[in-house]
Order: sequence, then C-alpha cells, then structure tokens
Amino acid sequence: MADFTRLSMTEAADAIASGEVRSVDLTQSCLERLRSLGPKLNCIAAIEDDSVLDEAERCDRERVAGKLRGPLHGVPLAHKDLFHRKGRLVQFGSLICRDQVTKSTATVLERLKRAGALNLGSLHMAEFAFSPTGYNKHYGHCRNPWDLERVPGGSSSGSGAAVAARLVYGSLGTDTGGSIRHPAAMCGVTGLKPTLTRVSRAGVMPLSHSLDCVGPLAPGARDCARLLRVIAGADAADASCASYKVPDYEAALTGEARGLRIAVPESYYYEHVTDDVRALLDDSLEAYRALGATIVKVPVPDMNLVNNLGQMIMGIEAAAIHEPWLRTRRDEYSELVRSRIEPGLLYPATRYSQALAMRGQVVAEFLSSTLANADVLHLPAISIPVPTINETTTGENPAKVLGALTHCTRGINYLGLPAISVPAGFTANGMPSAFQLVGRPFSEALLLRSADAYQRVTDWHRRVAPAAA
Amino acid sequence: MDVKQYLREVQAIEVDDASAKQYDAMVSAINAQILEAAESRLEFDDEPSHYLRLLRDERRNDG
Repeated sequence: MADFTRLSMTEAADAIASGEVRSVDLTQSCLERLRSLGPKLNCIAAIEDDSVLDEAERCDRERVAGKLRGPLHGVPLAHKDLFHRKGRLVQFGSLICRDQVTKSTATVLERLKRAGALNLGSLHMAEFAFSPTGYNKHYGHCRNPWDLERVPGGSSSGSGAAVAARLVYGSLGTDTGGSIRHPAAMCGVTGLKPTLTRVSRAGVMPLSHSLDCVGPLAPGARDCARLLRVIAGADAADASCASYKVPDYEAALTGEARGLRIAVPESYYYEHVTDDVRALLDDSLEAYRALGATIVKVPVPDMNLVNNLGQMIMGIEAAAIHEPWLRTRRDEYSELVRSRIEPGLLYPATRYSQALAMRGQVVAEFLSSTLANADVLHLPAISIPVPTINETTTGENPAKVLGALTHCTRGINYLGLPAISVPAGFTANGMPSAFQLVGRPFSEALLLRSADAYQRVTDWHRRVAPAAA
Repeated sequence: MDVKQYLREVQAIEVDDASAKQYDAMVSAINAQILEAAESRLEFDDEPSHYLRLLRDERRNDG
C-alpha cells in the first residue's frame, strides 16, 4: 500500500486499526506533503513539529498491544485556524490575532483527540471566516489544488485544499453562510454543515452565534459520518449545544437510495446556474433515479427575505463581537471584512429581535414548501464553475461572481438546517462541481446515507487533485 | 443624524463617504424588508424559542 493518497479517511483509519499500515508511516507521509505542497497551495497556518511522529508511534505500539483509542486511532488530520488550541498560536486568519496564544482547546478538537486522531496543524482560512472564496489580504490567497489560479472556496479554504490534495485525511471547518460547503464544492471533497446546535462551538472563534456551525470536510460521506459521530453531542462548555443522542451515522450508510424522495426546486436556486453546472446536477439526479429514488419538483419560499434575515443577523452579531477592535484597531482589518461587519452597527435592535422571532415561522414555511412530500432537497452547491482568483478580486464584476457563489448556500444557515456538499463531476474548465442535499433538522444520518449511496456509484470524491500528484 | 455622523459620534468609528453611502443603502433596504415581513407575520407572542421548539419537534425525523 505505497500510495497513501488513494485512501479515504475511514480506509486509512481501518488500515491502521488492522495493522495493515502504521500510523507513523501515514503521519510521516502527510507531514512531508504538508511541508512540500502546503506552501505551494498556501493552505497552512502552522504545521506540527516531528513530536507528532512520536505520538503516531505510540498509537502503533498501543495497537500492537491490542488497544485502540477510538475510531480515528492514529489518523492524521488538521483543522481550520479558528479552533482554540491550548498554548498554540491561533490567528483566525487575521492580523489582529497574529500573536494570540489560546489558553484552552476547542471541545471538538478534544473529542477528536480522544477518538485517537492526530492533529498535524492549523489550516489557512479567510480573515475571521469572512469570504466565500478564501480571500485573505494579510496572508495571501489559498490556492485551489485543481488549478492554482482559481479560488479554493472559503472561508475554510485551507481545509478544502488540504483534503483535496490529501495532505491530511480530513479537517474540521465552520459554516456561517457556506464556509464548509464552498471549499468542499470547489475543491471536490465532501463537506457537511450539521444542524445548528448539533456540534459544540466551545473554543471556536464566533462569527455569528445564531448561524455558526462546526462540521467536517473529508473525501467522502463515510468519512464525514465518522467525524460527525465523534464531534457531535451535548457539551457542558456550550449551553446552546443540543443534548439529543448522537446516532451511529456510519452504521446508517446502507447504500440504499431506493424509495428516497428527492425534492428539486422550481425557482430561485437555478437562477445563476450555468449550462455545464446544470448538466452535472442533472447527471446526479439521473444517478439517484437509477438507484431507485423519485424526483419531485417543489416550490421554494421567498429566499431573498431568508438571505437578508441571515445577512442582518450575521452583521449585527459580528459587529457585537468585533466592536472593540473596530474602535481601536480598525486599520488591521481588510476593507472587505470591515465592510461586512460595520453595517451591523446600524440596524435597530428591534429588527434583530424580529429577525430571530420570525425564524421558527420561516423555517416551518420552508420545510412545508420543500420537504412536505420529500426526504431531502437537492440543490446546486455553487451555481457557476469555480472562478479564478482574479475574477473574484480585480475582475470585471467581482460582486456578481461572489453573489453567484453564495446564492445557494447562505439562506440555509438562517434556517439552521443540515446540508451536505457532494462532489458531482467537473465543469469544462476542469474544476470540481457539486450538489447539496438539505434535510430537516437533525437529519444528518439521512443526508449522509443519501450522499454515500451516490458515492458508491460514482468516484468524483475519490479523485485526487493534480497539485498532489 | 446620518450614518457617517452616527458611526463617528456614537460608535467612535470613522468611515469615508463612499462606505457610509454604501452602508446606508444596504441597511435601509434590508431594514425595510424585514420590518414589512415582521409586521405581516409576527404575533405578539412570537419569540426566538419557537425556533428551538421546531428543532426539537423535527428531531424525530433523524435517521
């Protein structure tokens, strides 16, 4: 088993657990790749030193002795630089926190560690998690491993790029308006935004408390299932975290899609979809039909209102978090980030309260409209082929491009619903494209099963980006 | 008080004219849309916990 990049995360974990490969060999391979390819992709914030190899060797010795720490025993991962790590430099992609050493470790990282995972470092991200492309003025653009001139998607840009190039086997990101699903879709990996409150956010720098979700990016749905089971569930350190029992998501992966009812929107979501993206979306629906699923057309409520409710809440909550720094260190923000936070200072408090109060009603309307007679909603993940960095910065109309990139993702965060981005092939420019499946609250098991069924008859998620070759 | 003055005097933040104009246009549009939606939708006893109840009630669909 010489080429470790061909392994999915669960395959790597299972191969370590069975003794087929050693954790230390996988970890060494990942460290070498992080060091050689990481700078080329600009996807790294910090890489661990060789002491992580000692930990990998301990994992191997424990395995020989018959002890496995958990379902991720000895598996090398790395995560968005938004998670606190005790005693480590954590920058959130910002200048303001460039010297910040955090005093605790995020609950989700502690849970991964208890499950046996190794943490090889922190991954590059958009400044304070603002930007659907991964744009970062301070530390440079993270690159898409399928084409270094194109954006990787953001804000969890390093996570998407590192997994696509198989520098690590999986990564945690965060999603406030699409920040897991954008890089997953644009880099050709699978990304799951769980239901709001499903996963603890303790020790995670917030962007917007009412919208933020932590979730996995990994090659396939099975990998995401394993990661989600480890990180989900009640947390005393996060009172907002749901206490509902965490299912065995991986056990739910039956490969079955027969009888699945898939809703396809009649309006809004296809407004900016290009012909080649549409063809891939149609192909994915055809694959589901062949698996025995039924496709039903459904109406969609006013998503412009939903998007603006979310945008206002995000602006206000971000402004509340950043207000002290805006007063004292305003020049250390990029203009792009500042211009997304400052409007939040201008809304009346009554409007904020109303936006939160409307949420139950708006979600109920969305669900009754789209999922009353269906199990999952099938949507584009991104409407257009992955753009170049120039097209999203200095091009003819960057705002239009950015609008098209977020058109299908951002409303889902106000609704708080779970959504998974699934690789669906390649557009004419050779870049990955993807669809999303959106479900009812806490229906992650169904989303993962549906995505996994598709991935058993396709291999888009198994393709490794050429920058990794 | 206009946006620029408000940010300067209340928030102690200095923005340029172009930013103030852009913020004003965006916030005014969203503010008006949400106010209209709130007036037509909300009852006096609606509040954010309704959303949490909905999440709880929907949980049965998991799996």
